[in-house]
Amino acid sequence: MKFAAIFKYRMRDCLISGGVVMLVMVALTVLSYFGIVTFGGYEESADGVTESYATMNFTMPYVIFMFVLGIVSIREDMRLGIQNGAGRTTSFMANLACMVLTALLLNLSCIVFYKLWALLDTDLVIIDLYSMAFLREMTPGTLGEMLLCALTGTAASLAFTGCGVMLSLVYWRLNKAGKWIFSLALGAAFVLFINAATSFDWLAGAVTAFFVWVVKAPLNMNVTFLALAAAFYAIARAVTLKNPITAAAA
Amino acid sequence: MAIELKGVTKRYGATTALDKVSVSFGGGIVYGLLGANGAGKTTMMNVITNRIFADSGEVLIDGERAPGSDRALGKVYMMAEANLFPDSMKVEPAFRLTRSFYPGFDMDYALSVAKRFELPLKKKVKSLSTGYASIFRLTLALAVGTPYDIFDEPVLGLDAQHRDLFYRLLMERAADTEQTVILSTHLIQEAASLISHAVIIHSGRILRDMDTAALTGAAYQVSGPAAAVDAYCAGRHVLNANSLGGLKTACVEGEPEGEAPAGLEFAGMDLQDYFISLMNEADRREAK
Repeated sequence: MKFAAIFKYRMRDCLISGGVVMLVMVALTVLSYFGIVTFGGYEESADGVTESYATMNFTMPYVIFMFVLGIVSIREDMRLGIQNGAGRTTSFMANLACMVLTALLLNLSCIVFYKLWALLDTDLVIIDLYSMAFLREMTPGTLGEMLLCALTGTAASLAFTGCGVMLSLVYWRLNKAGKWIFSLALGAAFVLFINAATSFDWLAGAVTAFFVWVVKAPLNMNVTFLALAAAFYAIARAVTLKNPITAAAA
Repeated sequence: MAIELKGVTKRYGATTALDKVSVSFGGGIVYGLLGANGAGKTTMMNVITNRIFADSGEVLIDGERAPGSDRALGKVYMMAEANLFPDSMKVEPAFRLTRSFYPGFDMDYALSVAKRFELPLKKKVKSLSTGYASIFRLTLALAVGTPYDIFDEPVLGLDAQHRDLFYRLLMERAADTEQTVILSTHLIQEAASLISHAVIIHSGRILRDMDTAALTGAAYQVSGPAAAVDAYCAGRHVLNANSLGGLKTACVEGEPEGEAPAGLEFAGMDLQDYFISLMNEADRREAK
């Protein structure tokens, strides 16, 4: 009952905002096409044959959208849930279910759009993460490839959604000093890691080997994204176990 | 069937907001949860509704542990001072959303209450004035139909006419639905006629937990010339005393024995007088 109420509210919100993002992306695609018609596309010479084309990517905008959605939706759902007699687990799980479904629907819908766009046979090629990493032609040809595109896009979206949800909850839990320390520590850890990776060959080798492994097979990439999502969500869930649920600051 | 707090303690750093509090709310009556600012009233209500966790002790709702239980938490609705609805939400959609959580939510009643208060249904919750934000939240709490209804400062920002309307609606609703109501307010005088049972909290501890009639009957005022009042009060438990010129009024615990001595007058105490006397005594004890 409580799960359904939060899920219904959040899903409606996600479908509206996701639909807007989808429309914006479609509009940008169409505008990009007219841009090519007007100004010409990117030219590349391969084996003596000059190809003129431009590319459009839906995966990254969706991943960013899902990251932002994760940040903004979780606190709202936790507040809504507690105001209306739902436990923290219920609110958290309802939000998670909505994020998974939204990511899946967005990535499935863009596959449909890819296919429709391909029928127009323009110089504008829409590519996605899976196609870029694993397909020579950079566009999915079969139904199986299309589903893998959607699956990889969904997994990537979930990893970033989990990151957004985790960051939102951690910052909610921390006091002012804690927020400063956490923010600085994140930046410092990143800088230190980059420096360490350039200073120590074994670390650079390990990082390179990991990324090579990730792009070696679709399964590796999906497992990596899903493992990241699981880790982020596990931390987020741990935070919700004890955090006070407070109103948004005016 | 009741909300039970058993040995609940909650600390914020060095401050103990609730100190081994054990109290029970039930029986379909209106409770007054009374205390000065910072006494621990809101903390107690937040612990009951799982907005925050107690450091120790437990909260049971109809015998079931409250934290994490949708069934237990779903029996309690809290009208808090803070708004937990999304900023972008408008008033009427917020009513509909609440109905999706609570099957007992009476939409017609909510709309009729909103109409009586002239609450703008098309406005965003965030853009309501302090008074109308209170009306929005109290409308939800009145219409929700849960067995336990908690009001934390429900009349914040309301004018006298709207406060009176709220008290009348709450009285009618409590009588019609047999809800157990916990009413936390600083306007004790106004709400006194509604309150059947008072729970008085001070510095995180329950000072009194009694039927209102018994509570106010457990003390009386004696007034007259200061010397005569002092003589009368000797050996008695004085909660509070005030002097003005040569006259003095003292609040004495217990019941007056027989007629007032010559030159002195006895008077009963209302809930607010009793509360103030008790708080003053508690403050004096703490100062020692």
